[in-house]
Amino acid sequence: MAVREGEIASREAMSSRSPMPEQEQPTQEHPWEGQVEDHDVVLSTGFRYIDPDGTHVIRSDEFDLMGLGPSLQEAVDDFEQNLYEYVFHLAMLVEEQQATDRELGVANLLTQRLMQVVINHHRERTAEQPFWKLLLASRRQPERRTREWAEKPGSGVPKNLSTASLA
Amino acid sequence: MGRKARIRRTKELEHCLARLTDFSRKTNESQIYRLRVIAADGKACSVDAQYAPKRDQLHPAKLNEIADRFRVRHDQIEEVLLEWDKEKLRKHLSKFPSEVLDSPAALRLWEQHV
Repeated sequence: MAVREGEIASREAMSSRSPMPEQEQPTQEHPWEGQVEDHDVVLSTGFRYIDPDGTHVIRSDEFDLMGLGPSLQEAVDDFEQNLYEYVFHLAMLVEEQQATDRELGVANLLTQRLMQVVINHHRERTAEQPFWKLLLASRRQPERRTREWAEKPGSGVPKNLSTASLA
Repeated sequence: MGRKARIRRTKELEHCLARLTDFSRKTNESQIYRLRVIAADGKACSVDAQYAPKRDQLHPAKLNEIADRFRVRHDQIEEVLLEWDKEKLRKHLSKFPSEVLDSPAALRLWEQHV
């Protein structure tokens, strides 16, 4: 798709006006901050970037979790699947009385967040609607995507990691 | 990247992680590997590595994430996976205080302590 010269000029003008030029896409060296959400619940805050081969990478800055995928949505889905499996692992550690203090804290926090997802999902499903509307909705509309990445306001400003280089 | 990949297959990575950790647990699609470590301040900590062979490609970003979890440089991870043993990794991790081992590896706080 051809980009008109005027558009390029206006983009350049906008970037020169802002104190910190916005990146076109997040890179490993300059990832963007945001959060993974499901049913309007923040599962984890973190940052994302796109690898040179086009792979989308999401990493949590709260827990040791990541998601990878050829698209952002697939990376979000991978991240959430990893989160479910991590919570299962933590629950088993708690049951076996092997969990460290940190693991107990993480298990507690993630369980609360996942319970809120379940509650919101249940509320959404049972919200009062006329029967004919539910029937039409189920036939005509694809299921609402509930898992998503929410960019932090002012995205494009690189996340300040503790080190300059991630090489 | 500039790194010559020495670990090319999923099975190789799984084998290395199994060798370097105390135990692993199979969840639905992932294998979670766990190593118990006593931090420099005497607190019990653990370091995990999660790998889902069905979903994760053997991608450099995955190896970099494991490097962060093991608190080693990204360009050092293949050496660690292929050549270190469990006790060497435990000894390396025991140098860090619990504040570092309990922090998310993505934040790379550990680099300030080496």
